[in-house]
Amino acid sequence: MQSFGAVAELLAQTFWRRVPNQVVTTVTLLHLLFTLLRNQGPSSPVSLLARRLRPSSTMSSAASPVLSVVPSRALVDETFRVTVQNLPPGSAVTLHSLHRSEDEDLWEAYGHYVSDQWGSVSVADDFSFGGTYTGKEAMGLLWSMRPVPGSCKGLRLRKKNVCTPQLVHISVYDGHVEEGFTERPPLASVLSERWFIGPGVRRVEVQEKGVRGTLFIPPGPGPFPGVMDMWGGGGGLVEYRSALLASHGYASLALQYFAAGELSASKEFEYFETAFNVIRLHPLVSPDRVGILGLCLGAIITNHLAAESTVIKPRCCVCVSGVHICPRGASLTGIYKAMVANAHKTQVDENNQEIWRYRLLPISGDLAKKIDVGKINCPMLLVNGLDDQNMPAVEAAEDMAHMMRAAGKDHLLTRIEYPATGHLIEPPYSPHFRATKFMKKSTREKVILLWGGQTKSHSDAQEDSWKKILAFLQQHLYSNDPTGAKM
Amino acid sequence: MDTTRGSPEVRMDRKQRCVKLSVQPSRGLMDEKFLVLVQNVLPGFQLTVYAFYRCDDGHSWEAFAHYTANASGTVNVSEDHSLGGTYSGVEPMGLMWSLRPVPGSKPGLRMRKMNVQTPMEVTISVYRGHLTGGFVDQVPLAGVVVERWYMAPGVRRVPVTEGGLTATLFLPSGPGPFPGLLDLWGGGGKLVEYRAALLASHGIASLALDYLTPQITKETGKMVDNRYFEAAYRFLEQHPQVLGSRIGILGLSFGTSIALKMAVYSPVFKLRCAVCISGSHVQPIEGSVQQIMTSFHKNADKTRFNEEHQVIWRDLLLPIPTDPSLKVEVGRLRCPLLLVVGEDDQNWPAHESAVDVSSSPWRRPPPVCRSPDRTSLHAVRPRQQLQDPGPRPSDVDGSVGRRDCGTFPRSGGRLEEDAGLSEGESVRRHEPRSHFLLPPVTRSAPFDSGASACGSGSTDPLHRSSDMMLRGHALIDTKR
Repeated sequence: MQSFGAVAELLAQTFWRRVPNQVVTTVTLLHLLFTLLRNQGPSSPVSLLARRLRPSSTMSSAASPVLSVVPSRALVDETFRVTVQNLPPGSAVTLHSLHRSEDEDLWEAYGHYVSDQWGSVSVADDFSFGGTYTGKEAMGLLWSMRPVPGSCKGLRLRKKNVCTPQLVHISVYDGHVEEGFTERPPLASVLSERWFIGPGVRRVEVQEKGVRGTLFIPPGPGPFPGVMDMWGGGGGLVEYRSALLASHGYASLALQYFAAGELSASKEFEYFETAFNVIRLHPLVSPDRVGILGLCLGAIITNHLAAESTVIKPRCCVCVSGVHICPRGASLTGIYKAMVANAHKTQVDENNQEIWRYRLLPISGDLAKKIDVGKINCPMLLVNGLDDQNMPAVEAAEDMAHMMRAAGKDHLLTRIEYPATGHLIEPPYSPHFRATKFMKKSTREKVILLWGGQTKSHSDAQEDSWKKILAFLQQHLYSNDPTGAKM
Repeated sequence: MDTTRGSPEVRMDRKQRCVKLSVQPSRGLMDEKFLVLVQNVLPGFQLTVYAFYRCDDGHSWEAFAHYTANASGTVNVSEDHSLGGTYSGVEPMGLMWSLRPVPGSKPGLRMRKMNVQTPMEVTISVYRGHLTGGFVDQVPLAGVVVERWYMAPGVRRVPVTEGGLTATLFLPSGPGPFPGLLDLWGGGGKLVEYRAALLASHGIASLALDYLTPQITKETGKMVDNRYFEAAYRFLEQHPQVLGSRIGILGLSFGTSIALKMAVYSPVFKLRCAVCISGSHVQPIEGSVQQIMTSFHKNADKTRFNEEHQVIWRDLLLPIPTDPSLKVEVGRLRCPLLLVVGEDDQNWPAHESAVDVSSSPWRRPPPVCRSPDRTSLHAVRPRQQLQDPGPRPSDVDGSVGRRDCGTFPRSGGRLEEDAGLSEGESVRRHEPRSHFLLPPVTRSAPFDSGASACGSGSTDPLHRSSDMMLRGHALIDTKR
């Protein structure tokens, strides 16, 4: 691919500057040649051909722009600096990012820049004047990624294999380009690795006492604080957030749910208590420093455990995009049934995307339909988006605050709510998904669910909330502050 | 890193405070800095930060420093003073550049990463108290693993054997074309790739060339001649992803002799710039590799030994001859030249040679290269010995026994202003990426202990060299 780009550029410069159609034809032919002979050495026919086509040294003396991405290897929640140098001053260029997901979908983002008088562009310091993001956005090339034109609808980007990095190609193109990036050669390109897992983090598959999941243990002798990490109703085993938490020093269990109906109601509650103890009793975990982090359904379970369990005592809890609305004493299956029972309240938007937030509204005054959050005795951090179209998380948070205040517990509660932010509040710099495909558990029907949020605001919320979540966990799980007061 | 189910001591400690240690970034290139932060200890707590590395050939290296936590129970290695250990003072990267063989190691070790496709994995730990030894017998409070890479993602490693060369080409990621560089190490021979890999990670297509122990010499018993270097140059020049008009050369120690020879006398070489580290121009004019080696060997009786019986070879070329036929006519160079030397170089008279070069009349003065603040990067002070042992007649003709030329724990110093050659904008004009972010090989490759040359004991590092690098000067980071 790189050889193709170099020769195509040389050809364009020397022979076919004014005849773009012939460039396209020749370029396509050469692309075919190079693709067939890609890994040949310098004495291969391809390289020899390239040398014969090489323009004179005066033409080739124009130096390429230099693109750098620092650091080139990073954790997914670390920032990078993207700079271009050696451009002509005042030249229009496009910075572009490209990622091929594990599902073989292509995701891209781009921004339009103009180089300064020294021929430089710095993504962190300069303005993007157009593209998938605008303004001064150091990480815009990541968080504004979206599927390339022509992709299926409703795609979501989630890393399944956390032991390998996400590979992102960052390139700079001449001019303000809006499409067809893969059909033209960039001026320069670098590869960036984005990791969910830090060096030395250990991944341990867990099948213990009926509990299924993956435990990520930080490097070092321990003991470490622990986190039980739960996702939403989509099911499966989602490891990346736990891997990232372990990279920040927490032994984190990504918990897999049981299938609906697999366990009785009481056994279901026990499952989560047992899972918590799997972490708590691990020899490398500090037993009185274990917290719970849950998103969506995981947040409901978190509230439930914090309020009702007599067996486990989480040191702190983080609930993202969750509610406390749940038939009292209900199991997971019970929650699913309650949601299905209110399915008639589902709305659809103009694109036929399902909005589920109204299934749980209005929030009842009947205590039998809610978790008794007044019984919670540990610090709670609630992170919600004001544009959550899937759950009435903000309304629920308001009600929870009311209940906890009535019980004299509001000093334990911290609420953070972000404007124009949707339901899927993920680790920072990951793309925003306003609506994605979802398979309904009850009917196995595939729909497009509207999660909500506007990309820029949602991405800001992901970045800010992750910092706050890590600070909250550090305060309550690492520090020795006994009061556990509000953050 | 312990992966077993915790010792009794660990289980007893499970209820105590959890010390938080973080190193950011946890994966970096060798020339990137990291931030080491210890949190959640008691205010005023005394601790030791410890680095451990087991290199590819199985030797163990360590570095450590003593700190006292501040009122918030935090230690920040980038901001706080080390009160002792293998380095002192405020040294963000001290844990890397002060690595030394663990006690009990065999003498004369040198750390050089030969496999650049895997990272250096360094374990950084925190211990209670100000320890100076016995680290393996203690359980640390916390530990993390840091990866240090010579190759950035997307850099391509291409072994080269065409034209009889023994070389490796490192191509930056991207379509190119890229400026090119011929990378020559010194008298130790072998094919050493790490500097070329790191240069490619910064956008320069670099060819690491083995010219003392290449396959062709192993087969024929003969040293290579000019045609070998010219073949290497042509390989770069004609490579479809290299800009033929933007090729530079970098040589260290004996590599300097080759670089100057080819730069000045070869009709084939058309260089954009040259960098010479710890080398000399004193050699038979237009001599072959063999002839140059022989000329050094003629003065072998000038070899000295220090009190530890370590070999000092710097006198072999001293005094610098006044007869111009005995020195490369550096004045005939038509490209910018950067000389980097250590004033405590005990292996080779690099400093004296550099003084001689800069005082020679230039037929056509080279482009003036001045850094924005008028500082020149000629000499490094006070005492700096860079690595690579220089020419090794012993290895070539086998007549002398096992050589002990090594390099030494660097002492540091501040970069000194000098009126001689200077680096800066005009060099940057000559290569689009002319700031050779050369490996702090010095960081990753601490010197041998017990090797030949002596250095003084000062431990001040070269802060300014790093700053210069960051400002885009073609300066080697001479930290180590």
